[in-house]
Amino acid sequence: MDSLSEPSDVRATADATRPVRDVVREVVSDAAPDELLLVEGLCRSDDESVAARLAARDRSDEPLGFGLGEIAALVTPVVWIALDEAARKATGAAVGGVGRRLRVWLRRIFRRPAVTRTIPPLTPDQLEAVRLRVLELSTESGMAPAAATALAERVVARLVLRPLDQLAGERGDGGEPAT
Amino acid sequence: MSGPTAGPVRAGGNVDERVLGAGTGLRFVLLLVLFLTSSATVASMIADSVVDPHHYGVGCALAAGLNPDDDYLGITLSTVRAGDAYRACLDRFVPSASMWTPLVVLGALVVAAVALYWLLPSWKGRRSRVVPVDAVDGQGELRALLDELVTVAGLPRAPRFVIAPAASTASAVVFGRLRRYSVCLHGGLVARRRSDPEGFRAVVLHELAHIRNRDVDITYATVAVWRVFLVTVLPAYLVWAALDLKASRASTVLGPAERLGTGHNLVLSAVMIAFVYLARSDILRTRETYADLDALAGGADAGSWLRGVHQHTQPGRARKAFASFAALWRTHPPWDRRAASLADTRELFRPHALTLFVAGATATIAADQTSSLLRTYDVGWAVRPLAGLLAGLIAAIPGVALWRAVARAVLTGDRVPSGLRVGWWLGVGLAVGELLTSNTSGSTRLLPSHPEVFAVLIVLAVGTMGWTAQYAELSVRSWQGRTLRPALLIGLAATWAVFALWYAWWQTEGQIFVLGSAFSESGIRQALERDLPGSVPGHQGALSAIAVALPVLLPLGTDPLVMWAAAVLWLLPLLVWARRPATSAPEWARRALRDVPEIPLGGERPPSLRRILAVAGIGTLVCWSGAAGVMAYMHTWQPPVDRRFGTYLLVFLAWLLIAVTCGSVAAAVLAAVVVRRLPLLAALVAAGTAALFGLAGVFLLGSSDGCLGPLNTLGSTCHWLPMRIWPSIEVLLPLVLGLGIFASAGSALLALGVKRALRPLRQTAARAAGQVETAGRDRLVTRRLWVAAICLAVVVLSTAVSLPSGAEPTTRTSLTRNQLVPGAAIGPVSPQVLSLQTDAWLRLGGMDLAVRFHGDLLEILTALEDDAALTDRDFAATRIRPGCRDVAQVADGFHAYFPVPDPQARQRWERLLAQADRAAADCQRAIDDGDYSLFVSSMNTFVDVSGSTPDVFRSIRGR
Repeated sequence: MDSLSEPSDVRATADATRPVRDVVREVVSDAAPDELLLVEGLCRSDDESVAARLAARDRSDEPLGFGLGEIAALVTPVVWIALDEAARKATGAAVGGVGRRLRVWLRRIFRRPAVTRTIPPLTPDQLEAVRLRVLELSTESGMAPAAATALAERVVARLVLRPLDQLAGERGDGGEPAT
Repeated sequence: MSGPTAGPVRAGGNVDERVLGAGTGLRFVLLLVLFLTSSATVASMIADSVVDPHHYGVGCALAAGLNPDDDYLGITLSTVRAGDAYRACLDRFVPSASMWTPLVVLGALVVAAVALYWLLPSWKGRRSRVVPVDAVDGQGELRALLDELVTVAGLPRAPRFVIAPAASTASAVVFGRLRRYSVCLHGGLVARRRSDPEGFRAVVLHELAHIRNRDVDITYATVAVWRVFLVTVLPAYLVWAALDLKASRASTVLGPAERLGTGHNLVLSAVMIAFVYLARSDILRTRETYADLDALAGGADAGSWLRGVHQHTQPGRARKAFASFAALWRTHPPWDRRAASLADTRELFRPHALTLFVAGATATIAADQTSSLLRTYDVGWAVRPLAGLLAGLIAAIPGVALWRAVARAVLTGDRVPSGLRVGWWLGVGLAVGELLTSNTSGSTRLLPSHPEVFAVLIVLAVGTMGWTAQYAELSVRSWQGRTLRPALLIGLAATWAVFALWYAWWQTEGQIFVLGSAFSESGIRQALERDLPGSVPGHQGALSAIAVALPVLLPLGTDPLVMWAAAVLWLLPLLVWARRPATSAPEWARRALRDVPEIPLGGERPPSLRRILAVAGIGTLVCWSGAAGVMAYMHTWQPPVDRRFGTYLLVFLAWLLIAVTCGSVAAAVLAAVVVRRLPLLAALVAAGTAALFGLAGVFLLGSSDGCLGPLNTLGSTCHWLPMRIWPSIEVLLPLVLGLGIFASAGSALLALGVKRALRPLRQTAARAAGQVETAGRDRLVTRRLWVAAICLAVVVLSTAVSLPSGAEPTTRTSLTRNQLVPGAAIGPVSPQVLSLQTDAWLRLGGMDLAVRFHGDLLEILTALEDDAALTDRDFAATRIRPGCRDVAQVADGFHAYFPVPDPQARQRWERLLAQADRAAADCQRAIDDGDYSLFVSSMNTFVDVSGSTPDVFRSIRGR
């Protein structure tokens, strides 16, 4: 496994921001462990590229494909897209649009280092927006309503819960654990 | 698969789809050929525009008498009529674009396509899109599953497996090059591997089947080639067409024709691109079904395909219609058809109308482009062999489809296809392809003058495929080998030989008849009357008919290949009759019907040979009595001995040809009507045998000519003279045993059509006839003796005719090119066109010659002003004679140049030129011989000529 799948440096800082990919991995390992291979695969690329590719449409009529255009109701793209958007909104970056692919492409050409998308602690309103967005994307992807609701709540829970190492640090400072 | 429906479906569905090749490789090859010819055509058009930017080529044609308002025949004939003058004009003014230009362009495109083919897998498997399975599958759980599937699929080595994690479809795709293949599993599929293991298995096995069936290389080769075409050739062509359309606005006379021509080509390009997409999708759909069946054989669950059916069910009639139209363009068959094919392989054995139509149309486009290119670069001799090669593809694509359908029908006991439907769609495709190309309609109109001649293509396709179906049935029922492939190869080779002959004829000669008659019947008749001794008044009608038939019959009638192709048609089935009937099911059939305990093969035997020979006997009698009748009729106007070997012999031969062909046609029609099974083959055997014995009768009658009393024709004294009639038999052989057999086949097809239309009325009678037919079987030894004797005779005679005869052919004829060209084909010319023609005539050589002519006359007239001109012979020899020689040379130059475009001015000019020419010759002879009076008269003529010259030139220039 390469370094991308290990906890990144950002996570070790004390400001409680976390890489989007880490949160995705945690949610997927709880909700759909069969998709972990996909998360690992996606984690080999930078966040900009992943977001661009997840937003792109698949071709179902490729020569020598199986031809089944059926979209599987996957957890990974739903969570990744929702968290990526939330992270962009929170940090004031542009969300989606035609420019995204162009940016990825230009960065590759000029060999600029990839930016690791991180998600800061979110306000209750932002958390609610994430929940609604996950619900919306899950329903679009064909997930059953109950599963969609469960996934949305799981994502919100993961965002609210701090990782164990951070919790330990905060207890030492006498701070309140996040609920 | 549910129980109740499984019975009947499985009976048909059990035929191994690999009993014969699928034929998709041939269809791929056709697409590659089309890419090459289209690219070369575009390269050649652009190269022509570059080397001749001022359109001198068009100028030469105008000077030769081209009328842009004429149809394509008129345009072609105007340059043909000009002959050497046109060629000389092109050689002088149009730098010939080297044949290397399109070849180099083709080479570059092929290199680009190979490079793209090489790079495509790297692009599809780029790191930003896919990740190797081994890189993310730490525990090796997915890898183990995939390894097991590779073993099940029977692949000698595992491909590279990669995952496209961002693709959420539950699918996969295979790509790669030259045995280095990658299977890309989509994220949706990987995520489902545990929750839907059967679905996962089906998809992966399907992809592995593509590798095993060697679909990957040819598919990506086609993708590469086609993308190169779309990115390079097509834009270049569109730019060229746009510039051409812009340039056409400059001329009000030539512009409309040019715009129509370019528009025609643009339509052709658009339709061709659509055809290529349709053909490519059609081929890929077939390959998908094969991969599905292989996946099923590897243990995949059919339910995985049913999921697709539920997903894609279209309610409503309009939606269904749209869905079926859209399905034609998709690379995968509709899901309901895919699911159905798993239970019943019938679909893989059915010849599809679209496949045949598109194959016919694309093949014609490629063939027409090839022949145009070859003619452009003066390698017209290669048109025929290349058309023959391409005919192999055209015939093999429907041929394979038909053989598969027939093999399945024989194995399952279903109704054997007649091949007529297959032939019809192929023929329609060929005709539509011809309509789209400008070879026949030309650039001046959208439709050719005689589109009905395209029926020849349809008849040709229907006939060839009808024969193929019946021969396939005969062969399949009696084939004893381990595999059916050799039988298919023999059958297809025969189909190819016959189709190639006719298709090459169509490409070189037949096509012209769509434009109209390119030969002047009156010109040929006059030449016959002039060249043949002993013309007989009162038989002009016969000569006229011969003059009409000659341009059609002569090229085909003198070609021994026609005789060999016809021999293949009837001797090959005859040889199958000589086979020992099968007593048990052959191995190929047992293998093809792997899980059916009882094989329904056999039972149906070919019709009795004795019956067919009896019908041939009736035909032979018709031949003999016809020949005797002809001799009796010829005897009534028998000319003296010295005048019997001209027109009289020609008319005699024509009547003999008609008599023997009638016998052969009668045998064919009778056999087609009375023989119930394989009627076309029976008709051909009957016709061939009747023609052979009919000719034998003619030989006997001809050898004893002179001893036959009221039948005496060529001979007057009674001797046995076989060598007297043999040259006539040599002329008749390729016509009777070649064209005659094809005519008989056509008549038999017609009779079969009528019989089929009347079938309801005759059903009971036919059944009775069938009982009689199978009741009496002839003995094998007798049958073999008959077959051997007939085959030997035909092979010996065909060889004798094909061998070069020692004598030099006497091809002297008084027929000139001008006489051969029908005057009616070149229409009247408008004043604007005439002005253009005159302008071109003057610019491209006419003005030069006129100035020289005028200068030479002036030189003579100036010399004449000297007192010594008429008194001193030396003065005349040194000062006047060179002028006379120059005038003669200029006159020769005018004779070698195009005639003056304006008919009235032409008459005046030719009269003047003839005067000058004669005076120039007289002047030189007079000076050489010292003939004073001739000298003076020639000088007077020069004075007259120089006086009229300015006026005549003004009339040429139209002012």
